[in-house]
Amino acid sequence: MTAPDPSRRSPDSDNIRLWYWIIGSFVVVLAIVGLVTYSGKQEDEEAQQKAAQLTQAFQQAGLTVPVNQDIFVRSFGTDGGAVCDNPANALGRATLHDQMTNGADFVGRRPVIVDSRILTGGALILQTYCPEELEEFKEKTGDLKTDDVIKQ
Amino acid sequence: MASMDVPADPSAVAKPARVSVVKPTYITWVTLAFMTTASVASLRSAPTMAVYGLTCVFLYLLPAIIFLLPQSLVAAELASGWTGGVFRWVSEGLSPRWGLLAVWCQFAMTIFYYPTLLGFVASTLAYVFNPDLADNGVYTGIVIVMVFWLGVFMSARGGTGGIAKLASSGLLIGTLIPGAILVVLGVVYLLQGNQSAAPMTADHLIPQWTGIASLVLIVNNFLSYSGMEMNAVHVGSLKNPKKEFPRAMFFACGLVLLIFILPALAISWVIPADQLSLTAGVMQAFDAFFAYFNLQKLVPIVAIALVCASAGGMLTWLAGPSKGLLLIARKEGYLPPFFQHQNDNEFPVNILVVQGAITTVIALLYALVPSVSSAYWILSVMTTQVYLIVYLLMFVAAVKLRRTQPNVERGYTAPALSFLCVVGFIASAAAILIGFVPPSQFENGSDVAYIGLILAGTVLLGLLPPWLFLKFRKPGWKSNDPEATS
Repeated sequence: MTAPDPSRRSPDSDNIRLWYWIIGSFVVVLAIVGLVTYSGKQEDEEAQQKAAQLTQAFQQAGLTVPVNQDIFVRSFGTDGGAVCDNPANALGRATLHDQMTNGADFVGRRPVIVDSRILTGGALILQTYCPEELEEFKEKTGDLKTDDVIKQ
Repeated sequence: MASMDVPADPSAVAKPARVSVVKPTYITWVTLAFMTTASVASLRSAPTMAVYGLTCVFLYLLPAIIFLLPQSLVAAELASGWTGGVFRWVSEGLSPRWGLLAVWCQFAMTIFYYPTLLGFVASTLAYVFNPDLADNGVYTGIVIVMVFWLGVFMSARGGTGGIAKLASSGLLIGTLIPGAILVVLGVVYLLQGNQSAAPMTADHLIPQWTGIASLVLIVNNFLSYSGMEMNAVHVGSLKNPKKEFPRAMFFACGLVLLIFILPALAISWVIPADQLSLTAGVMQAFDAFFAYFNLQKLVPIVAIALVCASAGGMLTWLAGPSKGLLLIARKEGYLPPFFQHQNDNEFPVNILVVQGAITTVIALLYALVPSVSSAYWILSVMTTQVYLIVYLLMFVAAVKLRRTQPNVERGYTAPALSFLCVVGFIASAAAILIGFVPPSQFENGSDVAYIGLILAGTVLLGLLPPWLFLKFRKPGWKSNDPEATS
C-alpha cells in the first residue's frame, strides 16, 4: 500500500484551525451557560410530599423504589421537570420511541419489544406530578406492545 | 469488462490504491481506533440498557462473540490487504456491481439516520436550557439542520485529518470522561454499602425468556456493533496500514465493549429500571443518577458531552460511506461526473451536498410534521435492514478473496476465516429476519402489512438506486484520472 506524503498540508490548514477554536470555544461557552442556567429542581416541602406519594405509588404497583427518596425529590422537584413537558405530543412520542430500542448508539439503533414496567413507572410519575398529562399519555401509549423481558 | 472483473493474479501483492490514499496528513492507529469507537459507541444507550441490569452484560457480550468478533477480524484482514474499504473488498471478491451495492447500502442508510441522531442532540440541549423546547418542531428542525451542515462544512474543510481530530476529541470529551465519571460514582455507591437497584446475582445474567420478544431483544443487539468496519476506508491514512489497522480494530473493540457495558451497569446499580421514565429522553436518567449524589450540576456538562460525542460520531459517518461511494463512482463510472467531484481535501463535496439537501428535507419533515415524527421509527428498521446487506456481502467476499487471491499480502490473517464468515453471515441474516417482527412501536395493524412495508422500504432504499445507477450509467462517466482507475 502506498503511504501518504506527510509533507503535504491542506491549503486551508490555518483556516480550519481557526474553526476548531471557534467550535471548541462555543462548546465551552455552552457548558458555562448550561451550568449557570441549569437550576435543578425545587426541593421544598411540596417536593418531599410528592416524592413520598410517588414512592407509595411505586410500592403499590410492585415496582422497585430507590434506596434514597431524595432521588425523586431532586430529579422531579414539584412539577416533574422534563418528564411532564408534553410527553404525548409527536416529538415526545418520537423521543419515547427512540428510547424503546436495542443497545446501539449509532446506525444500528432499532426498535425492540420493551417491558411494560418501564411504561408503568413513567405513567406513575405523570400521575403524581402532572395528572393532567396522564390520560393523553395512556391513550398514546396504551396500544404499545410489551412483554416481560426484564428479569425480576 | 471492468478492471476488477478480471481475476487477480494470485501471486500479486494488493495494488497500491492511489485513488484513496493521498491524504493531507497521517493519522495514528490510536486515532483511527478512536474514530471507529466514536462511530459506534457513546453513552446514549446506557440508560436504555441499564433497565436490564446485569443482563445487559449478556446482551452485549453474546453479540460481541457472534457478530463483533467475526466482523472485526474479517475487516482487519481485508483492510490489511486492500485499501478502499468495503467497496474494494466486495468489488475484488465478488464484482464491482456488488461493490456498488455494498457501498450504496452503507451510504444510503445514513440519510435517514441523521435526523434521529440530531433530534437527540436537540432534545439533549433542550433538557438543559429549556425542556419545553424539546417538543418544539421549529427549534428541533433548526438544530438538526444547523449541526448537520456545520458537520458537512467541517468535514469538507478539514479532510480526514480534521475529522479524525474532531471525532477523537468528541469521544474523549463526550464519552470516555463522562463514562469514567459514571462508573466511578457507581462504584462509590456500592462501596457506601448500598444494595444495587438491579439484582446482580448470577441468574440475572441470562435474559428473561419470553419467546419472540426475548429473541428480538437479543438478536437486534447484534446491530449495536454496526459500523466497526466503516472507517476502513481511511486505512490509507495510516503509515503502516497492514500492521496498524488490525491494532486499531482490536483496541476499538475493547473500548466499545467497555463503553457499552460499564456505564449501563453503573446506572443500573443506582436507578431502578421502573424509575427510568423514557418520555424525557436519556437525560432524565442521568439527572436521576446524579441526583442521588447531589451532583446535578454535572447534568449540563454531561448533556454537552453527549452532544459532542454524537457530533463526533456523525462526522465519521459523513466522511466514511461517502468516500467509498466516490471511490467506486470514479473507478467504475457508476455515478454521473457531477457526483465525482472532490475538493482539495479529496472530500466528495457534491455527494455530501446532495445528501445534505435530502437529509434537510427529511429532517424538517421529522421535526415539523407530527405523523412523520411519530412513525419515523419504521425508517430506522428499514435502514438497519439495508445496512445488514453490507455485512452479508462482506463475509461472502472475504471467503472468496481467501480462495481467489490467497497470495495477496495481508498484514493480519484472521484465524478460521471461513468459520468466522459463516457465523457472521448467519448472525447478519438472523438480524435481517428478526427485523420483520413488529416491535413495541407497531401498535396496531396487520403483521403481514408490516412485513410488506419493511420489505418494500428495504428494496426501495437499498436495491433500487444502485440498479438504476447501473442501468443508466454512460461510458463517459468513468474517470480519466489515472489515480481513480488504478
